[in-house]
Amino acid sequence: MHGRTGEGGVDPIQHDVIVRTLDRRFTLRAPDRSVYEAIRYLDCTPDISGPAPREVTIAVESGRDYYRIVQDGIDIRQVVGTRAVVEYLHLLLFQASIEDRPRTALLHAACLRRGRQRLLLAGSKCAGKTTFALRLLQSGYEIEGDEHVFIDTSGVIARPRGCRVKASALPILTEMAETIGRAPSYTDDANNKIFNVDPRMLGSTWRIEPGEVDVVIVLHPNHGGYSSIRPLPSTAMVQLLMAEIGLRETARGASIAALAKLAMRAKAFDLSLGDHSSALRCVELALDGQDGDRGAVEPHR
Amino acid sequence: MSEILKRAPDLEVHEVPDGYVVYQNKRDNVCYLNKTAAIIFEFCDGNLESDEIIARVAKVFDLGSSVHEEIRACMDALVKEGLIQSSTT
Repeated sequence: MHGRTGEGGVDPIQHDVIVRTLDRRFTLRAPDRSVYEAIRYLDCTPDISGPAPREVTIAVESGRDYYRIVQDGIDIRQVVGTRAVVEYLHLLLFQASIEDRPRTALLHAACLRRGRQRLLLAGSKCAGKTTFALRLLQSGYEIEGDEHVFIDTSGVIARPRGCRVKASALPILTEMAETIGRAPSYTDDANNKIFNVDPRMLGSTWRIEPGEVDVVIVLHPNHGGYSSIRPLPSTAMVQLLMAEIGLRETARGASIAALAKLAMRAKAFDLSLGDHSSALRCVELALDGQDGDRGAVEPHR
Repeated sequence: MSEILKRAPDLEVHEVPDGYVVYQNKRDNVCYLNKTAAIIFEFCDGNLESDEIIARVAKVFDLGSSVHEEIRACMDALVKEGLIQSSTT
C-alpha cells in the first residue's frame, strides 16, 4: 500500500494498492480515501521467487454517480459504490492469476513450509484450513497461501493471496485476534466480515516459491471435538483431492498425472480437525515421519 | 470359445505406491485400482485367456481355487468400467 502525491502538487493525493499474481504486479490506483480503504482488502505483496513481474496499472476513477475502472486508457467497467469496485476487481484479479498458468490445475489447499518441508492442507470449504494454518504459523510454520496451489508434475506453487479470515473465527485465534482485527476487511452479502491478513502482520515471513510437497493433510472438521490423524493410502488421497481440484479443460490428463506424482512423492494423512493443540501435535508427527505403517490400510475403489 | 482380455485404448495409467490411477480420456473419468486390481489389469495384455489370467493371479498371491470367483468379479468390474475389453476367439 502506498500513498503518493501527484507531480507538481497539482493532482490530489492518490493511493495505490499493490496486488501480485505469479507473473504480474497490479497497481490499483484509488481516486479517494473511501475507495482506497475498500480495495486494501485486495492487497497482496508476497515475495515471489522468479523473474520480475510485468507491471499493470488499473485506475479507479470517480464519475458523477459511479466509478470507472480503467486499464491501459480503456474504460473496462463502470460500477456503482465502493463495494462493487472491490467485487469487480476481485474477480478480475482472480481471473488474471489463473491466466498466469493456463494449463495448470488449481488445487484447493493451503500451502505452508516448516524449514525445508512443504505441507498442503486440503479440504472442502469451511474445513478450517485458514484458521488451522494460522495456528501453525503461530508455531513457526510459514504460510505461502491459504486457498489454492497450482499443481503440475514438477510440484506446486501457491496462488498469491492474503489469508482470508472470517470475523467469526477470531475467538479461536485469541492471541492473534487483535492484530487480525486491524487488517483490511470486506463485509459480504450475508454480513460476514472477512479480513485480508498478510502473514507478515503476524510476525512471519511471506515468500512464495515453487517446489515439491512432503506431506498432504486432508482436513475433516470435528468442531468441538478431539483431533486425530491417520495415514491415507495414495489412491485414496488422489480420490479425495479430485474433489478439490479445478482441472483445466485443455489439460485434464496432465492434471491427473500431476496428482498421481504428488501421491508418489508425498505422505498423505487424514486429519480429523478438532482442538488445535492436539492437531498441531498430529501434524508434527506427520512431518517427522512417525507415521506408522502407511501400507497397512488396503485401498478401495 | 475362449475369452481374451486386453486394455482399452486411450487410457493414461499412473502408478502410485498402492496401485494405479487410470484416466479415461474418452469418458473423462478417473479410476483407482488397488494392487490386486492393478496386477489383473497388467495381465490383460491381449495374449492371455481369462481362465489363464485367473490361474496366474491366484498363483501370484499363492491362493487356491476358492478365490477364482473374486478374481473373475474383478475382471468383470474392469470390463464394466471400460478399462479392459473382452473378445472371444
